[in-house]
Amino acid sequence: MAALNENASEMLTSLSAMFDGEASELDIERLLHADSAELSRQLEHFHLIQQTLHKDSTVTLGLEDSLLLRVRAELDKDDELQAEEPVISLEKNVLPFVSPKKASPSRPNWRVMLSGVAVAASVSFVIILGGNGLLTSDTVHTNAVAEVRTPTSNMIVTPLAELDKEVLQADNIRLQHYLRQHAEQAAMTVGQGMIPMARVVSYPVKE
Amino acid sequence: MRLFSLFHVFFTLVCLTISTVSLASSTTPDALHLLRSMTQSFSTLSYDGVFVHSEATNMNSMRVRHDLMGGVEYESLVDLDGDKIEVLRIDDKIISVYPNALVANTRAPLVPPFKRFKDVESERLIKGYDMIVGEHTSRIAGRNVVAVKLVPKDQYRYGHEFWLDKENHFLLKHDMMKTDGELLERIQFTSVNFAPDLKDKDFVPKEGSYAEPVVESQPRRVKNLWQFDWLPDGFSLVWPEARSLNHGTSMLLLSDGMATVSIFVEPTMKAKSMSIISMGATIAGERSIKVKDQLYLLTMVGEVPEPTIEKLMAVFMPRQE
Repeated sequence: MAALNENASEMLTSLSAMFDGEASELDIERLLHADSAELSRQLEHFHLIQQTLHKDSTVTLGLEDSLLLRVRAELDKDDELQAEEPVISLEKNVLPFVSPKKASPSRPNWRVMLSGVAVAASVSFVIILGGNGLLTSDTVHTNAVAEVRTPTSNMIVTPLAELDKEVLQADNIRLQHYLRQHAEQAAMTVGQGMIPMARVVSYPVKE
Repeated sequence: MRLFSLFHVFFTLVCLTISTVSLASSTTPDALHLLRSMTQSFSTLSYDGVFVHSEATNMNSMRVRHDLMGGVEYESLVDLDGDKIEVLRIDDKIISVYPNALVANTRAPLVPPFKRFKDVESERLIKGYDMIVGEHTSRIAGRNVVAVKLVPKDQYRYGHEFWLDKENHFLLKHDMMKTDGELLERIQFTSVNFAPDLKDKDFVPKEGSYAEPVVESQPRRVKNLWQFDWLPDGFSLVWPEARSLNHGTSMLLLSDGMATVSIFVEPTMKAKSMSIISMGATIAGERSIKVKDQLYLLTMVGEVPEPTIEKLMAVFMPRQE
């Protein structure tokens, strides 16, 4: 029983790490091998808390349905792609940094995918902390949510009243990503070397 | 006396007409030749220079270096003022270090059609701009330069003026202007060395400037499901297919050979009315569009006037098969 609780606790920790975009390879492995029903239940629970707190909010996790299926599909897709796409070896010509030591076939895509949900996760995280005191009737779930993340002293808990601002911030992070993509592609397109990348300096940054 | 005056006026008009015609017919090929040479100079020359990038009230100095070592191109761009960015390119692999993000993004080797253009899109440029080569030589960063001006033929793009090194056609100054001549953005070298002693260690990210390298997933080419009902003359898609980013976002790229507009489309659950954000010469627009029951968030970013982004967002639609 204790082992079961420990497994559940580890799964929640990994889930939390994933929502924060900080999942390690161990976290990912743990989630992949976790009980699908239990994982789905936790995700539904998060979503329920969100809906309870923000019936009219447009903030959504977008993860409540078949996360594991999507994860596995993504992994399968990556594997297929790796098999299909020729790898251009530059090792003889370039610096060691260019060939990251840690890069394994699936890991980089995973990190990007997980960091991508971090934007939504930062919003959901606020909801979880804020909702902790409101759902006292469901003690089991409340405890489970509390285990997702233990607030640290330097953690900023955004008041629920400012949730809309958080949404805007999430929009800004997305826009920053697009602006950088645009600058990089413009640099490859207009024949002025890297100079168009100079614009990135004046773009807004995440504070 | 009156006859002489009439003859004088007629002769002057004929001369003016001839000179205008000859100017218009000879400047475009000359300008294209210079622009082509400028583009190639970025890949073939070795250089180490400092330039100032200014727009509105912002001014920033940056260092750019480029060399060919063992047949491989090395290039770096470093922010000298705000420490906000460091970009390295080795062959076709780009490493972008954004200190605020604490990561170094290493793009996987780029494969065609994402390789850098090493030529000018002359047909597109001719449709969008009148091109004039300046008659006078001036000096920038201690070097003689020749000016090439691109005057927009319509209100959907900005004007450009390039000052190129007279010897090797390297770009030493670039102004981007509104159609009324108001300066939007300027890039100007203050010093440049065309015989730098660069080593491979000059192309390593600054120690402590990032926490860990992150390799972004290989950009995948996917079928383009979108189209424009209208495009300004000279603009067309750079890639025949879309580029698939993470999280189901598709990216398209439009260009007229000088200006670029990036289009990002992703599924969303939130309706959003059109909003426009201006950042110097860069304009970003966002709105949601509904296709059947699915909402998509459309984002466009480009160095074009605001009405161009607005109009492009209004004519963006699913591709008709």
